[in-house]
Amino acid sequence: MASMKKTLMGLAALLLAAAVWLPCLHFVFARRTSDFYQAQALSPQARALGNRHLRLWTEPQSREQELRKMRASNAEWDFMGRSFLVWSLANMSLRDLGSQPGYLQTMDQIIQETLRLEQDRGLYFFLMPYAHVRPWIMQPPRSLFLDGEIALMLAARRLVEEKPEYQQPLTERVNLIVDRLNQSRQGLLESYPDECWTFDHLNALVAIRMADRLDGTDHSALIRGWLALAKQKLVHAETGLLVSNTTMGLRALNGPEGSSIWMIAHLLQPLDPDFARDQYDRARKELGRTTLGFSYAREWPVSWESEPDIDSGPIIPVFNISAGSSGMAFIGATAFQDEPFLSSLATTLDFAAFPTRKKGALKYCASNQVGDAALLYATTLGPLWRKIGANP
Amino acid sequence: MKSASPVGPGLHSQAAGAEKTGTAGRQSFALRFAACFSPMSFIRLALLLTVMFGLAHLAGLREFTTMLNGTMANVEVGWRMSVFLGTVYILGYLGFVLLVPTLVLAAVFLKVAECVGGRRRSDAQRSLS
Repeated sequence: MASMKKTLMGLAALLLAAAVWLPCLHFVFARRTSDFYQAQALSPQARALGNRHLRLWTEPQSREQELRKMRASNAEWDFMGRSFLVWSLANMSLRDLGSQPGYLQTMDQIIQETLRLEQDRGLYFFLMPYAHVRPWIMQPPRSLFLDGEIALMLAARRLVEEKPEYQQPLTERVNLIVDRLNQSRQGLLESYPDECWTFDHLNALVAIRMADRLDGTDHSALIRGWLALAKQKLVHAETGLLVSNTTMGLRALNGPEGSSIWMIAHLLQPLDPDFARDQYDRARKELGRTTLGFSYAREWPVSWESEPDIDSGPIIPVFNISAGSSGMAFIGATAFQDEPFLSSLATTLDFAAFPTRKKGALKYCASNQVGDAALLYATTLGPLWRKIGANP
Repeated sequence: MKSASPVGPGLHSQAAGAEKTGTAGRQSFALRFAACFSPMSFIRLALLLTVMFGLAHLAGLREFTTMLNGTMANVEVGWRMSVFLGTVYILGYLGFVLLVPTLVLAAVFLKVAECVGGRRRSDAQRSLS
């Protein structure tokens, strides 16, 4: 009888302790939002994450090791890691003028190496192997994934400081995208054979908007036309969110996805601010979740069922947490100044992403180079968009 | 008809002995089980979890948590081993962050309850005497 009483008391003490500790846990990992993002200056987190990436580009051995790890899973990540880093460095250059020369040097190094790899190794070097499985619908084959992000890298570099050597490559790439968009019957371009990604179209459109600002061209009608198409044909009926990808025949493949939609909303900001805000608010409602003070994001809304893929990362059951979507949610929360969400996302990051600090450089062990570069972008975004008249 | 029992007296006593042994076994198990719910046991378990996590951390397994996004921490080690080592670290970390404070708090609550209970008992005995 006494032992039964002792056991029950022990269990009750454990339950009570859990009821006290679990709701308090998030306080241990809570940080000020200003540690993560600052409107004008570079936040401490941005500086530390930036140090890690700059070090990767000055230490070829570490970079080689990091890229090998990522390319073993997904060659796209190598490419996207470069894009996010260049866009981040552009924003950092505009925030910290003293460090601008160093940042510009690294941007040039990345851009030149990426262009060289694209030229030497061809279209498939930065694509996943399934790009070989089906034939491309539009000929000659080109991937808007590569064209859009490279154009945006070149344009971002030129917006920070003009570099005449990049004017022609940017103009050529923009003209190529515009010509192909005009030729496409549905107004869509492939990133993979018969696979058109909303994310890549918006990257390309922002690059075109930047090129217009830089070179005095005017593609506003094309941009308006594409956005009208997106609102009419690329919206998931149940949630009102833009779908991630479709076939060239406009058949939705993946529905709305967290790993795309947060960045999509941000990319819409300089193109159509009201639509951008609408998409962010819907994504927040459909995908953003907070439990015991920790925020995270689902990959799919409840109304769309799908299997985990390379973009979502493994989905943590019960809560349906997607590492990919949660990482990209930082970009949305920062871009739309959603401070409560950003603050508790940052809490989750420190709790679950295993930060490691070494000699002023920060990396998240649960992430990888591309994930950390996307986080770096979230900590720095703003100035580049303001240069083309947006106000994130 | 001295005994209506279907079994002989020897068997009877054997059964009674077995019953006694069973009861004693159950009692000793209950006692041992109850002992797991003492403040000291909670603290011991908390220490064990802390040491296990510390070892995983010192062994550099934190790097392997990159498997959470589908990346191998070390291409030479391979995907399966990376997932295994990453999972070991994550379980150790969750044990350290979630269970250790819970166990310590539970130990404190139990100790307080024991003290309060003990004081009440001695007050009651004093008032009886």
